[in-house]
Amino acid sequence: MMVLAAGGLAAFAGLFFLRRRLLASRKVTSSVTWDCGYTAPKARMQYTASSFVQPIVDEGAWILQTHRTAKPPQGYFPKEAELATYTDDTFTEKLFRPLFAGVAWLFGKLQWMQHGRISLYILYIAIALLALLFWYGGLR
Amino acid sequence: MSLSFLFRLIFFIASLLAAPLLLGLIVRVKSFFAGRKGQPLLQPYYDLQRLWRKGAVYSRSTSPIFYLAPIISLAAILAALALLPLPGYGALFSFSGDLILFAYLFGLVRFVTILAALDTASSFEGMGASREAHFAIFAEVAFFITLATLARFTGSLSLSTIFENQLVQINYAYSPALALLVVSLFVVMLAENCRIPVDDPTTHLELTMIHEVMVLDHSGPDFAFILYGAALKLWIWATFIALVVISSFPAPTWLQPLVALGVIVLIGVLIGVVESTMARLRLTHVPQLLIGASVLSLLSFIILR
Repeated sequence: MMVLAAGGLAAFAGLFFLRRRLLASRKVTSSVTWDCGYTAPKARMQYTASSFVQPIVDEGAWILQTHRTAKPPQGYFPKEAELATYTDDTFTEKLFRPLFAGVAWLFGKLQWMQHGRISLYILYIAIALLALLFWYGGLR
Repeated sequence: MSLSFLFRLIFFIASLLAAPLLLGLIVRVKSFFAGRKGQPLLQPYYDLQRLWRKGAVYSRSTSPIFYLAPIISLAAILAALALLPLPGYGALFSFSGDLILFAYLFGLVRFVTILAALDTASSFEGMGASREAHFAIFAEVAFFITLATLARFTGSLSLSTIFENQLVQINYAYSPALALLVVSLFVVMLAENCRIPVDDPTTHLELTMIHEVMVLDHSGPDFAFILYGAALKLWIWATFIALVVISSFPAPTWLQPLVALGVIVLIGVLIGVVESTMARLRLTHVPQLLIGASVLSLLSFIILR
């Protein structure tokens, strides 16, 4: 396994230096990215992360529930058009938030036990210890 | 050095030399169907030689990722080739679990290719990268179910020991299930290697391309690395299918590499026939095709135990 890893790294290094050697004596120029004839691309036209995941987000639409607001171009020379999509964290919004809110509500109902009187707190501990003692005794 | 090791080494080197020939064969089959004389069988070698001699042009928006990607992907494909068993004799390197590495070396190839495509900041290349990643999700499922089937059936996690003994030695009734695996692998191979009906390697319209558009900005030796890597990848896939096919027919060990070579040629012809007789699928239907392949693999997973 180590030999294979070493071989893979050696292949990488070999190809790296081979490429450097091949290009050393040749013309290497820089130009614009291939733009299919459109000469004024702007940074805003880049493919975004949401464009990248769009196919799989569409397939998971039933679970992801992407919000989408669109104003399509109207008329022959439209002045404006817009599209906004926003994908919530479905599990946070639909599962965990309601679940934890429910748990918080439930424990809120037990707040009468938390009153600040130390003597009663010690009583709780004593009851708990007694209960454990009986439980332990029952197990033996 | 044992004789078996020598054979494996010869297989590795022969694969390096012969891989582009398979592409040439496919093009010849397609020309035959189109009634053309077609390009020479060695045309892929001439193309590689031409690119090898050229300089390069780099986009001003690219970073070192862009020129490292072809190098990393070719190195990863070479490592995958070293894990590929010579039918009947095993691979140059093998260890328990190497089939996971085998699958994810191709994952690494895809990952760096996607990175390089996004690095150019071109919308075309971003779109191609998006499609590539999308289809890979489904292709990977089908391939992993296939690997799981083979691993469970043979009780081995190494490609070399999976194909060490012929899979049907135990019972001929297993052959149909292996045939299902072969069909599934064939579909995944077409998707992984950007062939029709998933992608068209000869298209010239950026909007319809998948893989070709991702490497649009590469030139010179970088592009030669990519084309050669693609040829090797197709060769590896064809050999992998040949390994499953020949394990369904009994043959003496010394004959297995020759039978496998016959199967590889047959696969080349079959790809040519598929490409000549079919159009591309709509992009939205490709996942269905790949899920279909996964279902075939799953069926075979249930049958083979």
